[in-house]
Amino acid sequence: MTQPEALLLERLAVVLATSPAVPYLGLRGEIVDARVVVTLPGLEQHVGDVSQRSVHGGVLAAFLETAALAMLQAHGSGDPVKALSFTSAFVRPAQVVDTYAAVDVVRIGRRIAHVRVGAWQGDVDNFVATGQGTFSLR
Amino acid sequence: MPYDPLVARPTPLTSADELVLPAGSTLDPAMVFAVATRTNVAQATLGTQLLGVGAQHATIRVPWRADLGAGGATARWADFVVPMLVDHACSLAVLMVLDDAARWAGSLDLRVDYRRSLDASPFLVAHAVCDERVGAVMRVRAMVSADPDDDDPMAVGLCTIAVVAGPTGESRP
Repeated sequence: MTQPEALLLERLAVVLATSPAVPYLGLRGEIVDARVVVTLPGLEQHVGDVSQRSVHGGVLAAFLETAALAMLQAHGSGDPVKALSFTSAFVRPAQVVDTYAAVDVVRIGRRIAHVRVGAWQGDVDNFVATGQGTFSLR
Repeated sequence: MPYDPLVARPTPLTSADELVLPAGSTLDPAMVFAVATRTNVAQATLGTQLLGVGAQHATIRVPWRADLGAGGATARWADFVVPMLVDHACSLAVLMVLDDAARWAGSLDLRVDYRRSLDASPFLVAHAVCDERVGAVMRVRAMVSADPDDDDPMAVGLCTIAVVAGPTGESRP
């Protein structure tokens, strides 16, 4: 782990510790595939369609948005960040296993930030969901 | 967005026996009630309640709980509750239009626009209307507010849902 990655992971842990989504969704920050990611654990409470045993779309969308917001705060000054809009695309059914989200901060301006998120399970090249959002920096 | 107080009650349905389906619907009320509140584990965990359904829409709500809140002293709903509620309301609205649970194929995408602060309220209500069908997909609009009569929603959503072709091969219901 490089020093910038270690610092980002440390900041992410601080941000996640205060996020209301973390205890509910069980999110954690870690290094996976050499990237700092936010992880959604494969928990039974995240199942949507019981016949297909897949993660509920709303849970995935909440996960992507929370990961984007948390990583944005970890990259920034620690000021509050507020979602203006967020779009999630459900690329393929997500199994009830750990899901990882890597966040690309496209641009941080003075008041607005744009973020992209990709989420995968076993294969980092096969996303189960992607997201992009616009956030207000207050 | 149309809101029909005749099908969206101010109090939640407590059993399938109370569910009034729109005229012409062949859906099983017990199945609709179960899908809305029980068989979807994530929604059951969230505590989602069904307020009502119509030919093209569905209204659900979640009661306030401390673990769904954020903001400390200035309590507000946590953002993550909104996409969870919107996705489910949109899926239920599509189920009502399809009139056949087997034709619901899955959510393709979901957009949420946050319009104002998610101030704490006794309930968070999502009202979804499916009024656009394009080939094998349906588009659903949703409003999220503290009260279903509120015309100034805290957030609005747009969901695209894939559907399976009907028994005669048509992709539109």
